[in-house]
Amino acid sequence: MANRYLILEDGTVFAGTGFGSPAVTFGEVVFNTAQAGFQEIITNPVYFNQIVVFAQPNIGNLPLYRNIYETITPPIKGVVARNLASFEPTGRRQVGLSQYLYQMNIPGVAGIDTRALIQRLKAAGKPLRGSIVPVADDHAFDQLHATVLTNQQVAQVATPKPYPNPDVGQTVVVVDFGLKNGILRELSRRKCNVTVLPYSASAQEILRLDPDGVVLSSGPGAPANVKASVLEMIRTIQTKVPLLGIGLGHELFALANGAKVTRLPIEHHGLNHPIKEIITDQIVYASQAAGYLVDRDSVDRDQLYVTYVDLIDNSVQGLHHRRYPAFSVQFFPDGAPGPDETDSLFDEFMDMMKEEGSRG
Amino acid sequence: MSDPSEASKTVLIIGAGADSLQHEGELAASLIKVARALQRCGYRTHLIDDNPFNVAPDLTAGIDDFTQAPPTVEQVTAVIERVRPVALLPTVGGRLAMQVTERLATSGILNKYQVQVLGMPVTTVRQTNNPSVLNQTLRQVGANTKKIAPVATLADAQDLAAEIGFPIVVRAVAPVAGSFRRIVHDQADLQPAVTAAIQHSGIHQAMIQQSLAGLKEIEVVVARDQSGTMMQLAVAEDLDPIGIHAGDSVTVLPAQTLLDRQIQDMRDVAFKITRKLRVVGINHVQFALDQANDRFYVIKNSPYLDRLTTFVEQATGYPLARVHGNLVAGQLLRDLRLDHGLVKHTAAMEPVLDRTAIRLPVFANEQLGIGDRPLTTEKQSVGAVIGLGRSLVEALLKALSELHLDFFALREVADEQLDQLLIHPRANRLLAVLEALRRGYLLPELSELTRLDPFYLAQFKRLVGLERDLMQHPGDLTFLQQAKYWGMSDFLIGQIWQESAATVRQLRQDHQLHRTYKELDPSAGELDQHPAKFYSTFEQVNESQVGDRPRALVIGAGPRRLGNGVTTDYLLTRVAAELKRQGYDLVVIDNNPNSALLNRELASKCYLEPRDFERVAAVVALEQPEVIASADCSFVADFPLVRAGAATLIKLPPLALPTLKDGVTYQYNAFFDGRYAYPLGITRLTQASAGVTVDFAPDLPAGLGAALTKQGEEALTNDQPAGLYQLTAHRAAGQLVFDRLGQPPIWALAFLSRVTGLDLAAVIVRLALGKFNGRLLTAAMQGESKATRLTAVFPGPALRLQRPAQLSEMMGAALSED
Repeated sequence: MANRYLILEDGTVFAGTGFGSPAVTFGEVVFNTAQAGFQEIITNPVYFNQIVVFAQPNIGNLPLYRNIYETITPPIKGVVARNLASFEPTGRRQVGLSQYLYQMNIPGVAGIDTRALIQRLKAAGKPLRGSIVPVADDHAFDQLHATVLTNQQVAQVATPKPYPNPDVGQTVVVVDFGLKNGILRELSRRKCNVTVLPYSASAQEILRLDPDGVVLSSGPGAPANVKASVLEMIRTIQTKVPLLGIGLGHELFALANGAKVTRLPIEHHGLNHPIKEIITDQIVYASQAAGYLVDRDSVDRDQLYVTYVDLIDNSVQGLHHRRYPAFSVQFFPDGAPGPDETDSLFDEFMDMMKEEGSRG
Repeated sequence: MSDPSEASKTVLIIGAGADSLQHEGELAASLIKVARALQRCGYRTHLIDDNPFNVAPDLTAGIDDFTQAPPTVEQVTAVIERVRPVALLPTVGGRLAMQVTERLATSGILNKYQVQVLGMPVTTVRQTNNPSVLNQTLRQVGANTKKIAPVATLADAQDLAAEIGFPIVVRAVAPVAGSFRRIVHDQADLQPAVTAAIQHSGIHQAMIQQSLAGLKEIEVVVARDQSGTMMQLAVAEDLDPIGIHAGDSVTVLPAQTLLDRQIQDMRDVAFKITRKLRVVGINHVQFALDQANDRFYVIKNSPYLDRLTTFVEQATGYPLARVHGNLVAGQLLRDLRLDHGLVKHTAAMEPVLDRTAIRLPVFANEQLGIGDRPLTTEKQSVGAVIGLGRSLVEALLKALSELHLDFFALREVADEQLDQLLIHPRANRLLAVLEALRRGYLLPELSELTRLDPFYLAQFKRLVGLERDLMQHPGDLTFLQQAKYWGMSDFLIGQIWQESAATVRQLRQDHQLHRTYKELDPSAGELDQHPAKFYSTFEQVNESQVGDRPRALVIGAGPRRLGNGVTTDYLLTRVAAELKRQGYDLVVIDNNPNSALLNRELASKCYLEPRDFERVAAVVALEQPEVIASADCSFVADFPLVRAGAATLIKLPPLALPTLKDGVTYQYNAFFDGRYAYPLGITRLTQASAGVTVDFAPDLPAGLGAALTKQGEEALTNDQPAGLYQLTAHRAAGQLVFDRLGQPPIWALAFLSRVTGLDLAAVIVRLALGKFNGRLLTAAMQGESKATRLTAVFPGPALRLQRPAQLSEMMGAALSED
């Protein structure tokens, strides 16, 4: 009954049943262990050029909801699951997962032994590329091996033009490296008057808007591949206004301050790791989607201090600048999907802006 | 506590007492693990309980001291005065233990003897026992609760109803004769209901409360440590809506039809409540979710272990009970080191599943003659099974296979009657849903009738589709493959094909359609963890590796059923402990999430699988055990391994109860080694409509004991094989009439083991292994026999059944000494 295959660059073939778009796609294969929130995951721009395997076996159990998308056009390259719910719309405007993916030209494959697949990905010890294909023949493998995935992920997903998201509170510039809506949602909740700028924005362009603070958004790919002028921008901005970096924004903040960032042999995507806040010694949980991590030993203790650590893999999850009101987290404090208990970081950012503002 | 100065301080653990409709073996099973954790933290553990089938005090690890007494205020006080514990643990004894703890606090006993309550402050114990006080606290943390208020006039009732919105529940406050309760759906019905309620009320008041019937029920389990760290262990969803008791509902883990946003909101509230109540350990919060407006209500908060927590433990592979023990002892989540193949720091990692788990209630309504009784807010089920699979359908089918239901039982039912069965659900309502799907009911329509989420109905529809495919293609390999992939048993496929299960099995084997086993690790495959618990599916990679040490397989007793209660589980657990002592690696297969057997301190490996021929045979074929122990799986004797003599079979006595006469009978109990009879004591069974009691070492009429013993010994001098025996006698016209010599029923073995202090399970095991010698018995028989009474517990009263007590309906028991 198999009609679609997930093939991996190491030669492995997983047979399943296609859903969504019949297109052939290529991407890095990563897995996510979240138990719910498939819509938020597949629409997160962090999955540019990636095929996401869901460890939780049932997806598409709910229709898509208009107010929980994380981007307008998701750049994910494929969805792999054990079971796709047989969805029958009960309302007029309801769209099921398969139909949505079809509309977005994203292929999916179900009926996969995702547990075996995840074990395979872990055993490889390096990111594996894969392809979702109708026939798993030599040609398909040749195509896969010949495919070059861009290393300019940010340039592909970030907005090319500035746009405003006005409100009546603090003025915030969000630098878009692959912005997910959750960040804007959190800033909206706090009435921030937001302008989203392209990732290539210079410090001058940002400061021209006279922001109370700057957010470096999350996004896909390697921070090292983001052009060097971005690090220049960060080094300037952090001295001027409060700065919050998230995900890729955190990695760039670390790089800008002399730390090293390394590729994870197995990417980590989930919501369940205990993350220790060093100052309080408390544990929090948050949405994580990381392919790169800040090398703990490379952190220059004169510049930065570590604020959060993941207790499972011991990775740096948060940094704070010693001299400036600038900080960053590897995880997503905006959740969507995931726990809200770190959304207080946005409040911390708000407080910083108020404090700096009153200082004039 | 790891501080050595704390060493040997005693924690008094309050047991749950006799098993009832509200609880079965789950508390005993949890208790063993919690107590073991307390021991490892340097505490001495002292259990007070009168449940003869609580196996905890009979195992070598876990309980240091045991007081066999009902866990009442008086008895617990006596133990406190005698033992002077530093702390008391109320969280493994159900609601009863919480009530006892509150009264001990109120009476000043806890203060007087400086006994600390573990797991929560006394104020939280009070609030847990008093929902209206708790509701105030819940509102303080911003949680919605059911609106409820008393009214004295119709006008007030109308105002309140307008505020709450229909439907509402109208009750009489302090009713004078019997209770009065009515669901009111509109203004027109309000006046008569309120008037009647006020009339019924001793204080002329009616209670108006919001009805949450029909909303989705969500159960959230969280843990909190002393430092305030909190984590979520599970968000489970009940298939059946509010209005059906959560224990009678099919529960699914993880929740399948919730938005992440809804999960996070409930998690936040569960955390807030747990923090506010300063719970240390496990807290279980139940919510009613109104999906029309995302509003949710807290309907119950249980800061103790219960049937859901055992299900969560088995489904996730996370050692919940043990962690609870560590936390109440003051350890912190981040410092905890788990064993049994779990990675460092994973105690603080929130469990995630790459499988679907189902908890299916098991009813005895047919047996009790109440098969047509609708399910309500009062619990009716007597036991539960767990089903695990890589899809919801697979998990459900595996759970269902324990029940041996006829899937097509409602084939002949008329549409109107089927509608009634859908609207007013009864035990095993799923059969009605399947039948409706076969008849082409549309999902929205069916969802309206049943209040089941369309997602689940779509899953059941898949099952009906599989049935149809199989029916249309008898013997077809492709559809066989599909059916196995979605969890159908050989038996069910055979039923549809009108073939024997053996034929299906053969076809499957001919085409190498074999199952694989997946490990139940709590990280959904992210980490390399090996808790050595497995379930089967039909996928590519098998993860269950067989070791090279000799293995013994114990096939669990399955869900609690009436007649034996949890006694089979009790005895099998002791059999397992003995097999382990005999040097075997213990492998367990069971589908009762509440079983004491599913304990990694005992079993090297657990299979959470159905106990039918197909699944057991597969485990046996893989594990090649040298010993197989079972109570009710008669098919085991036919396994090639057993027939060839490669595996020794240990069979417990049959579950079937001996036909017992009403009135009083006497039993001579003995072990016979082939040459000599070793008496185990005489018991007197009194069966009356008011109750059933069994007395050990009772005062007997003159000469009766001697006559019974003489007859028993004579009966055992013949060519009887070695084993445990029971000779029953009754008196007729002043004469002692002897019945046939037989094996004692399982509950009697459990009872005798407890009262004689003699491990009869060990006797059975050693006998089967040819390692028996009389020393065990001689040593035990030195002790003095104390007169002890077992009082059986029946579901009748809780289910409001007017029926005489019958031993065949026993669900639990309490012991008392004269």
